[in-house]
Amino acid sequence: MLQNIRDNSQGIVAKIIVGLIIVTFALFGVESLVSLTSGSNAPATVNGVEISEQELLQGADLQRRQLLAQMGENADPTLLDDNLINKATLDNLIQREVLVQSAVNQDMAISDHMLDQMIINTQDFKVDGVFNPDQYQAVLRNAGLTPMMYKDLLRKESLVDYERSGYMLSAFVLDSDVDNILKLDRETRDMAYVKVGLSDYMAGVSVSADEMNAYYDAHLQDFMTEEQVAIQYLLINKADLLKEVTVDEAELQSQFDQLQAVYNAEEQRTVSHIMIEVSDDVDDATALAKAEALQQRLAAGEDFAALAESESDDPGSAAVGGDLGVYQDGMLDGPFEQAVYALKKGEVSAPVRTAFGYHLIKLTDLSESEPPVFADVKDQLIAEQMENKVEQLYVERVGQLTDLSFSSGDLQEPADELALKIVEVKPFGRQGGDDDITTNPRVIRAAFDEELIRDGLNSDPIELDSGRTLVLRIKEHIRPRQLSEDEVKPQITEILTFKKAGEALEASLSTELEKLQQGAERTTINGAEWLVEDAVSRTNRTQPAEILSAAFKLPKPDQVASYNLIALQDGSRAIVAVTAVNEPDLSEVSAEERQAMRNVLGQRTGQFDYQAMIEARTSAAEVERL
Amino acid sequence: MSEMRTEEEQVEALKSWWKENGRSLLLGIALALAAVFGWKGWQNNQQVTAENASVVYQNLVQAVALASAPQSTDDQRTTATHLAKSLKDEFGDTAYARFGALFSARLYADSGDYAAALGELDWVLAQAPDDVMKTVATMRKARVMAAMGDADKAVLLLDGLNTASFSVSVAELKGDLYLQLGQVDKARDAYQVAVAAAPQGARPLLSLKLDNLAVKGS
Repeated sequence: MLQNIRDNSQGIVAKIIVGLIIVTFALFGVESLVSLTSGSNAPATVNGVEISEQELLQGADLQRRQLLAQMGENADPTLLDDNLINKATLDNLIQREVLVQSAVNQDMAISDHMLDQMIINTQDFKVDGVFNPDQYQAVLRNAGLTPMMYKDLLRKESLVDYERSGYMLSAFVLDSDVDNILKLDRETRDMAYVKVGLSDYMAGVSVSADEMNAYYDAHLQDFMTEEQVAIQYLLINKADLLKEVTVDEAELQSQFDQLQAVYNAEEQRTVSHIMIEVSDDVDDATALAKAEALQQRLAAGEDFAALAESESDDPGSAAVGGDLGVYQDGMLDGPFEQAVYALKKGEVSAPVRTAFGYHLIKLTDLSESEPPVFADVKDQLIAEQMENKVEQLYVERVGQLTDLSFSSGDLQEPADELALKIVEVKPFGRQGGDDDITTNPRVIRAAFDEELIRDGLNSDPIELDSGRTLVLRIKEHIRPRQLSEDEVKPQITEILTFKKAGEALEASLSTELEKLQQGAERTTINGAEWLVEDAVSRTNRTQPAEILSAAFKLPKPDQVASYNLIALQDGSRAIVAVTAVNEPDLSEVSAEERQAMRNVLGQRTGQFDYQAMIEARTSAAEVERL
Repeated sequence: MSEMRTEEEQVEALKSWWKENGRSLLLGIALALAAVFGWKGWQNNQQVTAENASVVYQNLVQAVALASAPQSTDDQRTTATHLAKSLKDEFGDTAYARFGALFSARLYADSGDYAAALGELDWVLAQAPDDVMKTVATMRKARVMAAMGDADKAVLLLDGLNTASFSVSVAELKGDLYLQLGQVDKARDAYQVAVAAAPQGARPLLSLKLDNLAVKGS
């Protein structure tokens, strides 16, 4: 056999094959073989294309962040159901992959150049209206993406978009479509109804033991007690800690010293100036001469503000009488600043040279409020000191509670150590109890935590708000229990009475209905009057919604009105009549309204086409989930 | 090989081996190279065509969005029609061209030129599109035909469609066409089929159409 192989391998065909293999490896490398065999743990594949775990993680993360952003600032990440988010994300990724493949299979493609253009034109990547690479990198980093990944994402989204707009934007609406829907939408109906309550029939109904028994047997699962937990907890409340701290007089004094130091730095100087610019046109000496002339006019009693307005070369301040507002350290050149600090209130400086030119500076106001007096601020300082101390104590206690409740088997030990009272709460269900602690979502979550129930552990510390933290423990878990027939007898009686009274009422009204349908006049039924309303539109708000909806479902009347008997939410029954259907006058519909309807219909058609396309592609795809 | 002792003998052996086999080996390599580069070149060519078409397509989508807005100008409509035409002319066998024709059909239908719209839809159908596009184009064609007064022929067109995911839309459209033909019973039946197949509450307008045809005693 070896000889055989040897002979065959000398043949010309064999040599050509060897040549082919050489070239294949040379150009595509060994990977072309290896990649076929390596295993993977992709969460799903679509027609053999993997959706990577990384994609799923990233998508879920993004989803989570969006949800938290929607929940507002009090968002609690522990309330999100990760399984649900992961499943929804995977569904989305699968659908996108199906649609990307759909586009690719139709040889749709998008060039790198176009993707680059799109990136450059993305608003989020721009700073001051221009694309900024740093901004681009920063935004991507925030979203946990590399530029490569982002580009790939963008390519996929664009491809999907191509087909979406291809189907949706090409949908058209004919004038007759608009007319037809407008005719239905705007039609009005002349209607009447009579509503009869159950109360008259309730007394005449009796419920037998057999009926109750049958109902109980058929609805066992409706008669269960609620699952409940009884919990106990230890609460550390900042407000309670207040009585444990005392005021330290020495510390008060140092607080006061600090306050004084801050006060000194808080002197405020309000200044105005008149500026004489030194520029190419005006040399130093001319400017100085002018400044000195102005100084003399001021000395002679002219108004500073008026002079600033007419003479100052600083247009911004000139308009407001030279006012520069409150002077802040380092606002202007050294000489200017020195002059400001040297001035007394109301004084005007001699000309001061700065980089701009000469200034005449006036100190218009110096806020020299009284230095703080200890007696005045004492209460405030005490409050500050107490708050700091309580905060410290609170943090310390929460730390101790965390350690103690973690290491001990019940709440007794931490309660003794920390001198806290164990609070017991009466059992409550998953909807929560009746105070702000047992209705807190985090508390409910912990109270129904399977692990805590099973192992009887203390919970982790739960922060209710910035000043309250608790640790809870489940004292008793009350499983749902089947209620006995005796226990629910009143309930069943009520249900069955209600039902039988309804049937009796319906039977009696059915006879009336038949008479009406044969053309009998509309007269009071069981003392109830007919309520008549003409020209009621679909959007009418005054008629009861159930009645209105029934009226628009009725056939058009002929010689005799159309009637129907309906059961209402509250158990009563009504006979609804339509006596006329009025076609709308379409010439009264404005062009804008018409256009609005046209848009609605166009979107509707396009949406349905696109959705059906997605469905078709999805059902044709081979999707495997891990 | 043990008998080839000297280097010269080995070189000699190689030479004779080359003489015997070299030609076919070279041919093999040449063939493989040709095949690989040919394939890559063809793929590359396809890719470039698709990418070029995508640029025109992108512009077309934007143009149609502008041209179909209520305050659009004649210029905008001409631009859109022109772009769609150039897709068809230059990239005739691509999906882009078929979408382009769907856009053209819309622009024509909007302006009331039903014959031209019909022409575009027929062109799409002649390109052997996949089932989805075929169904969409046929449904739109049926609507245009009905607008031209051929509702009876339009109904026949719809009978040939069997893409499951479009069943609700097709049935609803049939109802519309029958109603236009005055065949109220058939219209009601068609709407009922559509309502039964549609997810609960997904199409309020469809329910409106069906309720409108309600008759006494049913």
